[in-house]
This record gives sequence, C-alpha cells and structure tokens, in this order.
Amino acid sequence: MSERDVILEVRDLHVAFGARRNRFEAVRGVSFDVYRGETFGIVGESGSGKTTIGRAIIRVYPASKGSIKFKGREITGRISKELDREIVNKIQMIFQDPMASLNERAKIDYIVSEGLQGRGLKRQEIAERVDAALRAVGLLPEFATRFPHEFSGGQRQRIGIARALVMNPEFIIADEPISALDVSIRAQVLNLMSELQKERGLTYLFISHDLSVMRFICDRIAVVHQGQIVELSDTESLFRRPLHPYTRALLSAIPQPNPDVEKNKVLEVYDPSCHHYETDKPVWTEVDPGHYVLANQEELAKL
Amino acid sequence: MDQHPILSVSNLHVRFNLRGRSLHALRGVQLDVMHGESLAIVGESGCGKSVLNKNFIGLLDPNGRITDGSIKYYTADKALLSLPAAGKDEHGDYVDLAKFTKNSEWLRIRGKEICMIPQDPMTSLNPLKRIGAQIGEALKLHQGLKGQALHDEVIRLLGDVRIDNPEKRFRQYPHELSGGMRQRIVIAIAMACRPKVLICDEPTTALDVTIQAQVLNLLHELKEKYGLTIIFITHDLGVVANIAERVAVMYAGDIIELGLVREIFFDPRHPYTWALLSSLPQLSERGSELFAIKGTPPNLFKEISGDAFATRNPLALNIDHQEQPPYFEASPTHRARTWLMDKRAPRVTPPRAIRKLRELGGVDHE
Repeated sequence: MSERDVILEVRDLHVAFGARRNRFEAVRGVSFDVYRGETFGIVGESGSGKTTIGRAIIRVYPASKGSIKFKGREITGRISKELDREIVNKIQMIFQDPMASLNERAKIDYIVSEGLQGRGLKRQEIAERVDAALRAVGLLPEFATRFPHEFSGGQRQRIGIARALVMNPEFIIADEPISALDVSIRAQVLNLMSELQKERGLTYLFISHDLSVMRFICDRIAVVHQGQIVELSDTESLFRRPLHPYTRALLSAIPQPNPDVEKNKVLEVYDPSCHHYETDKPVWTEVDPGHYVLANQEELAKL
Repeated sequence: MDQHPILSVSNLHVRFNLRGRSLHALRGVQLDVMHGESLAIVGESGCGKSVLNKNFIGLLDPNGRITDGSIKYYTADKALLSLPAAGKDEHGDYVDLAKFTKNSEWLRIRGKEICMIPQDPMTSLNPLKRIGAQIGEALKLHQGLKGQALHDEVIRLLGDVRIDNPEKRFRQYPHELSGGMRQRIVIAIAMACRPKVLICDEPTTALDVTIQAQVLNLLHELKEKYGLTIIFITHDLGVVANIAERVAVMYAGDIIELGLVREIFFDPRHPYTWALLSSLPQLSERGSELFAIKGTPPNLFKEISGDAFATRNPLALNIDHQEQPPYFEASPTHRARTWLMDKRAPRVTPPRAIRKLRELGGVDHE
C-alpha cells in the first residue's frame, strides 16, 4: 500500500465556525490520505461534518488548523495565484441536489462552460470542450441550447457531472450525488461515475450517509462522527468486521431487501456514553493492516 | 389480518390538462386496501403513485380530474353515509370518494378518516408557530379539546412518537429540531386527527439512514397500537421490506404487480419489478456494473398500446408491444400484468439478483 501515489493528504484538519463564545468546531482533527485513482468514501449522519471536510478541501471553508496537501503541495491558507488556478482546475465538485444546483436562468451551454470563461480561451475551443463533456456523460450536444427545467433529475445530475468534467479535473468531490435521485436513476449515475473513473483515472471523494451505496462504489471508507474519524478501513473489512460501535449502528440501519431479515431486525443505536474516555484516552490504532479505529486501551483489549 | 377492504379503487382513470393537452396519469388502477394492513406503493417518480393517493384525500391539482372509476371508502359513520355519494355493496356501506364535488364533503374525510404525512418535514411545518400549538390545532379541530386537557393530550402524543422531554419541545419552534424530530412532530399531528388510514408519502427520503430506520420503527409501533391502515409510498424497494405486508408496484399509471411482501421480494414476476430489485446496490456485487433500467418512462400524453414497460424491457415479447396483458394470478394474493405468465409464453430466466433473492427466500420456482 505504501508505494501507492498519494494525491491528497489531510493532516489534523480543524474547521471552526463563529468566534469566541459562539465558536463551534465542525471538524476536529481529521487525518487521512487519498490515493490516486481510488474512490474514498466519507460516511456519517447529517451534522457529522462530512460535507465540511469536502468543502475545506475545495477551499470554500478555510481550515482553522492543520494541513491539506494536494499532490504534495500545501493548499490551505494563503497560496499563490497560479496554484489557486490549478486547484480550481484539478479539484471539482458534484453537488447533492440537481434540482437546486443548476442556474435556472442559464442555458446548459453556459452552465457547463462557466468555469472555462475568462481565461483567454477561444470561443470555438470552449464550445468544443462543452461538447465533449456533454458527450462524455451521455447527453447529446444539442442539449446545450436548452434550459435546466427541460431535463429530468437524472439528466440534470449528468449536467452537474459534465460541469465538473469540462475542467479536466483529477480529483472530484461528490457530495451525496445520488441521494436526491430515484433508485433506478441512481444506478445510471453510479455506473456513469465508475465508467468515467476508469476512462480518465479520476479520484473520487464520495460523501454520503448511505452505506449500502458506499459498499458498492468505494475502495476505502472513513466513518465520521461529530467531526472526528472513528474508523477507517478498506470497504471489505469494514463490512466484515466493523469495530467501532457507531459503525455498527450505521450498518444495522441499512435496509435489507429481504422481508424475513427485516421483520426480525434489531436496530443498534449508538450511544456515545458507552465510552469511558475520562482517564483512558482514545487513540488512533491500526488493528488490522489498513484498518484503523479510534478506541482506548480498554476497548482495544476487547476487540 | 381481517380481510375487509377499507378502500376499494376500481378502474380509476385520472387525466390532467396541461398546456392544452391531456395527460393520462392513472390508467385504470385496480386496488383494494385491506383494513389494518400496511400496503406499500412502489414506483419511479412520475409513475402516478402520489396522484393515486391524492385522490383519497381530495387534493388533486385543479387541472386534474377523475374521468372514470370509483374509490369506495367503507365506513360506519352515519354522517358520511348520508352524503349523496353513499352506497352499499357486498363489503358493506361506503361512500364513493370519486363522486365528491364539494370541499365540505372532503372536510369530513380529510384528517379524521384519511390522513397524509407529506414528504419533506423541513417544509411541512409552520416555522412561526410553536410545536405545541401546531399539534394542538389539529386536536382542537378534530376532538374539540381546550385548556389543560389540550395541553395534556399534546404531551401524550409527543410521548407517543417517542420524543423525549415533551414539556420542553412543546414550547420550541421547528427550526430548533432536527429532521428526524420534525418528521416525528408531523406524525404526531397526523395522529392527533385519529385517522383510520394513514398515507405516508416518502416519509423517509429526506432523512439519514439511521433516522429512517427509527421513523419506520415508530410507524410500525403506531400501527400496532391504534390499528391503523398504512399506505406507504416510496421509490426505494429496500425500505419496503421493513414496513409493508403487501406491495403494489406501479408503472406508468397502472399497478403492474401486487402481492404479499415475501411474494414480491422472493418471487417477483414482472420484468419491471425484476429491474427495480436488480438496481438495488445491496444486491449487487462490488466492482461489477450496477443494473440500470435503460430509457425513460413512457410519455403519458400519448396513449399506450400493449405493455407500458415493453420499450425498456430487453426481454419483451412481440405481443407486449401490441396488447395490454391482463392480470395473471401467481397465487390468490399475488397478481402481475405480464405476458410472461401466460401459458404460451417462453420460459425466461430472470436476472441474477432475482435468482439470488429466490434462493434467500427458499422459493422453488416451478
């Protein structure tokens, strides 16, 4: 694993909102690496800080502490204009709700090309790249002259993906890209995403609350609870042997398409007071190769 | 389960006028909702599942109208039975909701008899009123409670929907609560009307998976406690296994398969049901391509000939494009509209996910 190319390195990331008495730390010391070409998942409930992590990487929220390195270069804090421009190109985002994330008053043509405007490209060149991006997501180039309301939810999400692709990114942050879609459309969008990954060697940071989808698409998963990563592992062993009680609670909540199992299901509820962290502080420990958990000595002894 | 229908829909056709054209949203829906059961209606967006249910509470958009068919609501309520739409058949006295014309008629049904939980708890509560007042409003209207009795009943309802510290919540505003909490409040408001039938329109799609599981459990408890009949609308078959006793699968304004929950999951017959189940990531192998339904649902502005799903179905037979299949019965409780069940049809092997499900359920097919 160690020789794999690290594309994104996050170390002890803190993100805080407000000041003084209203200060709230949404992300409290998160560290992880994302390797080139993989799909890295961040899972957690709403309010756990998973979206904040994504937005800190794309520099929407400033990090209050810690570092984020993209291809070995620091991208938090003040950075040069050239690096900023490069990051805008290389890191792109796909948003949750395709109904709300497209400008209703702009044509598809403009929506997709917006990131390319104002950087000295010829009109012809922009048109060609928009054309190529639309084809890549399975839409027809003639859609470019239409407005977003003429499209269905699945098509709109494709437009959202085209908008990210047009910049030729290497790293895409997908923040719940399929939660707002129908089950049948979900499959189409997920397939499209993995197809594009194979073709272009993209790296995804996939943010979601739904572990059933993550099991399908992610190579490695980090479980976030209240701004901290409590468990990080490759997908297989996370599902085979979930260590943290919060992970187990999330797993037990996945609806199974099996009425016999569902009728007898016992829901595990995570209660943070089950930990005794007053004296025995939790530490980030590698239990199995590549499988990390946040636990104290007492809990580790029981695993 | 006692086998009397509480709602009986027969041959229901609904059309909408849109920009001078007529959209055939429901195409002859046939459905009995049994007393005290939980029925799930599953389908893609635009298949008519919400339109069907809006008919039950008279909230069809103004450009929509029922062109044919009946919706019988069986009741013993004298006041309802004195309406002109009342009648009697082998199941008992009923009122035909399809014949309602006046809002005053609907006021006797809405809330008191049939109640609906809307989809998004973030937008369905009044942000300017306290939680207690919003629940109390329904109690005042439907049960005529006042003062201390009203207060006590609200507190009791909050406890019913498993909200801790009800006295504190009583005085809070919706924005102070999380999504799961708000959905519980909405459920409490619905329960305050003491309905016989509760329609839940995608009550958990806006919620986290963990909260979703809790809300489903809550609905289950309430159903047992009050003997509710629950109609559960969703696009996610994964959720259905938990809550439903029977499942109706809708496609293009018609119910194409209906059966007990075990029959739908372990022995589905219609290719569309196969497709819906196959596209669940829970059933797919990692790294393989996820099954996706090709194409888009049919355009309901045009009349559909044959099986509505035929154009998207790789297994479609010739006859699927020509003639609409009737219902074939797989068991007394299980029927599907597909020519595949005809005696003359070729034997078709269902997709892998379906064979896997059959094994899970121990269904030996033929």
